[in-house]
Amino acid sequence: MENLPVPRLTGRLVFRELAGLLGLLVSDPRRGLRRLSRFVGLARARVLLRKCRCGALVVALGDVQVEGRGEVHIGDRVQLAGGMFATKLTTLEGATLSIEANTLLSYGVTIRTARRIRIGKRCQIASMVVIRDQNEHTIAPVNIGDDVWLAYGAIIEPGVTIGAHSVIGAGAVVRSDVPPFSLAQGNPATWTTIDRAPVSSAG
Amino acid sequence: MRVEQLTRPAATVEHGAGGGPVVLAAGSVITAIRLRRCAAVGRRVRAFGRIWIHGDGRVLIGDDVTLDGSHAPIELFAWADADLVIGSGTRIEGGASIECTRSIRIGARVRVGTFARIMDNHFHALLGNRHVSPEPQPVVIGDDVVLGPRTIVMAGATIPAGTVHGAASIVRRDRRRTARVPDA
Repeated sequence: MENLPVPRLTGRLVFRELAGLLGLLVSDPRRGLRRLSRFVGLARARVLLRKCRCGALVVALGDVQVEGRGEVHIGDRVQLAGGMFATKLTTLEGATLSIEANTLLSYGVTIRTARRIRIGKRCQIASMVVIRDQNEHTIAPVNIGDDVWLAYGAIIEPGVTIGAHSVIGAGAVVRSDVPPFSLAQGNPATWTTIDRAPVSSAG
Repeated sequence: MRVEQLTRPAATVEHGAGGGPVVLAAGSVITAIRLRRCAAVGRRVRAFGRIWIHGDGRVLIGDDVTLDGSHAPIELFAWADADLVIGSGTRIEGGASIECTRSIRIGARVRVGTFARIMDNHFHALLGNRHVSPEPQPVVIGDDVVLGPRTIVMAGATIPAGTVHGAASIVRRDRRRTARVPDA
């Protein structure tokens, strides 16, 4: 998916897309409205994420609050869903938050960066997840690998590295590193490799 | 603490305390507007604050249900062809989010705490293509159950009647041993 070329925004492309949208609204209103909301999301991301360095085709379907003077890098095709609560990206001065391409964020995600947080490619981050790199005692960078799935309400504590393809279960509090291809659950989270995990126990 | 004490409906805010029938009628009209997307709503249902009901499925609400979204919104989300049933006398606190892809049944006199989450699907596979939702596993919550704040009830969970789950507990298909059934 990430190898798809990002189209250049030209007058002809905009005209063709708008014509397609109008046609779809007439022929299949439900799909048309869904596509319209995507266009609105593209425009919304431009406004809400104006302080960030955004890649192409970033979509924000809900409220996003970007606070602080730090740097926020958002890759191509990152999608921020809408819902009951706003997603909050707080980045302190001198800190860097990078969310790499094709990552999906649900609503109500809180990411507080004091120094460095990296979220890899194609991650799936569910609602009410909290990621922070500073607590009462330390500041330590957080590194989340590619293809990681953070389930509902997971909390990632400072200094944690999560390996690629891992799954953090719903409501887990992760305070130590999680290797690749593992399932972490509980508070504090303990992990097993995904092969040994009971089927569908992540949430 | 006895079950009756835990499940007794807490004092609810009356629409315009001491107000006349006009105020009460206005309150029920507002409730009807807030719950307009439900397939069925019982009698004496009270809804406060923002109740976000969406999806193409059916949301069925029994008698005497209280949805208190006054300090944080409540989400009731039923996908197409899904049935979300809320039994009579149940109280749902603000911030609770219930997402139903096929079937969630909440019994009578249940208390769902603030920021609780109930879902009948894992939404992603552990391995392989994580963009495809797996098969839903229906959730059944018995009568007089208490779900503490920030409880997460996951796909396939069956909670026996009278169970009390403390704050931030996680209920999976294989139920946790921390759940306790108090003597009724």
